[in-house]
Amino acid sequence: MATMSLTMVKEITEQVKPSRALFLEHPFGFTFGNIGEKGLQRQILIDCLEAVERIRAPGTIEDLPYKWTCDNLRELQLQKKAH
Amino acid sequence: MNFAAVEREYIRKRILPDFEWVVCETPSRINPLTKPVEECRVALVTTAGVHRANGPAFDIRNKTGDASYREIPNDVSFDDLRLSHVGYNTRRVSQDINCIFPIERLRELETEGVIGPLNHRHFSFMGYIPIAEPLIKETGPEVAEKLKTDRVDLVLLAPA
Repeated sequence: MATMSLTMVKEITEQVKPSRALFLEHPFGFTFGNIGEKGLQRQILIDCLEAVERIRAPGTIEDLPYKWTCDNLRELQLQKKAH
Repeated sequence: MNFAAVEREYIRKRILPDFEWVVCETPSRINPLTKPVEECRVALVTTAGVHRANGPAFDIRNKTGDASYREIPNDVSFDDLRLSHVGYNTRRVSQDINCIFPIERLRELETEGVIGPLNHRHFSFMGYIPIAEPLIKETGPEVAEKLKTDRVDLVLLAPA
């Protein structure tokens, strides 16, 4: 059974060491994108499907290129200043 | 910013004075796909705290976390899904649960033949589990065994 992980906190994933992971800098709660962002939600799933075939080295964490630009929610969450 | 350090100190000061993250010495083994993606049975496992409207919510009042899980039928009505989690704004995300549990996007990929059949069930944990032992020894292996029983080829593991 193959697994493909997503992560939004790379330093934690580096300690857990899943077989394969993709990292993206989204706020908690918005792993696959923003409300109504169907295209990005789909694309992140596609990225997972492509990565599971490509990644060969155990413990690999690759960065996804998507940036959360609509607000600073992620930064606030990382400082425990927002939910 | 190292969120792991921020969260560690937060939990130590308020809940568990000796809290530490679980560290694995070696990476999990890579299991390659045994068939093309378009033939794979796919399941989604999330830590988003997804549950059904008429089912039990996760215990978000327990400061020591909740290691239980919920089975989410693949044919669940989107309107039947609810979120209970301490780590993000569930009210806001409830406007479009695909943000965190993209079941509608997965159904579209299945219909288009990008993936094989979706498994008849998916699974949700609630990602605040500072005491990890029940997850590691009980509920995590339970879900893994169910996925094996279901003959799932590919598991997508998505955090909240």
